[in-house]
Amino acid sequence: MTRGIVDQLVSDYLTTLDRAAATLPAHRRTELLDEIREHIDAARAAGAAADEATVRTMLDRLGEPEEIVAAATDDQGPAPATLPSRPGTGLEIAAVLLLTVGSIIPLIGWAVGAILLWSSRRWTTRDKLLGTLVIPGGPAMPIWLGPLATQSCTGSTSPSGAVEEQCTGFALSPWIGVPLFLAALIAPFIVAAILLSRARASSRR
Amino acid sequence: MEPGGARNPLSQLRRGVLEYCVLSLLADEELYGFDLVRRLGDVDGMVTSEGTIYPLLSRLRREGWVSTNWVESEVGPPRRYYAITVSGRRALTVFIDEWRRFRDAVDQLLPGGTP
Repeated sequence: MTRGIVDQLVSDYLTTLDRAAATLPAHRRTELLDEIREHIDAARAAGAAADEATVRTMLDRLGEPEEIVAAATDDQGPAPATLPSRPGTGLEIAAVLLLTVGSIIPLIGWAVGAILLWSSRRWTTRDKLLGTLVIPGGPAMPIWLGPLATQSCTGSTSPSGAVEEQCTGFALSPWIGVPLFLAALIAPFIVAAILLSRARASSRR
Repeated sequence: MEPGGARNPLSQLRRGVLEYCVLSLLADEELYGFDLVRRLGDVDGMVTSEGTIYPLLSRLRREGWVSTNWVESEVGPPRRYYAITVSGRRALTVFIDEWRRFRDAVDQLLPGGTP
């Protein structure tokens, strides 16, 4: 009979606790219930809760279930959702990508990159100017402009016998043209790296 | 439970100090959860409800100041034992110094104190 009452007291206590703990996150609730159950089992195994009176004392010492849950709520700390979240650098990464590899898409790729560059608050005006001016149109620009820098000439013989040559484009010595082409190709990537590291640095502030 | 409940500044203070009392008890030996809670509960004026120590232990574990391990028991299911970690020891050492200064400061200011 005593055993029945004792079991009843314990199971009532645990039921109340479980109900009160509904406000806790599921894993915390399970953990708390397990620990309190373990405590009660240990008390009973130690003979500290053999009859109704000692069980009542043991449960009194444990405290009101609501009080335990209140302590668990306090000890949880702020919910992760309420922590201030640091805005990511997604916009900045997109901007830099479009300004470099995105310039493969004629005009639009680089232009959208430039708009993103100027709309970011992570960069100073100097950074933005650097990103825009090195190199307008992006690294793909020399690829599009390359053909213009080659001279093509057509020769014809005039009726008087003189050879006339007509040329389009402008001539650029390969000794200057090739390094210039490579520089125009590489410079935007170097600037991109600088911009990214500045964006990261300013996101940590 | 004193008036004002968990929001009572004195109960907040007690709870803040309690975690270092837990660390202090664990400084010498690993303890079974039940024994740890009972030892704290047996000190008059320390804990108003023993059950509230378990959430505290779970927080200390998340903070990495305490670790738990399951030990097989001869009677009944395996038992959760609590042990202090290296960073828990460090936190305890810092607290002990700060607490002594704080305690002396309060004693000095309260009536009957020795300025």
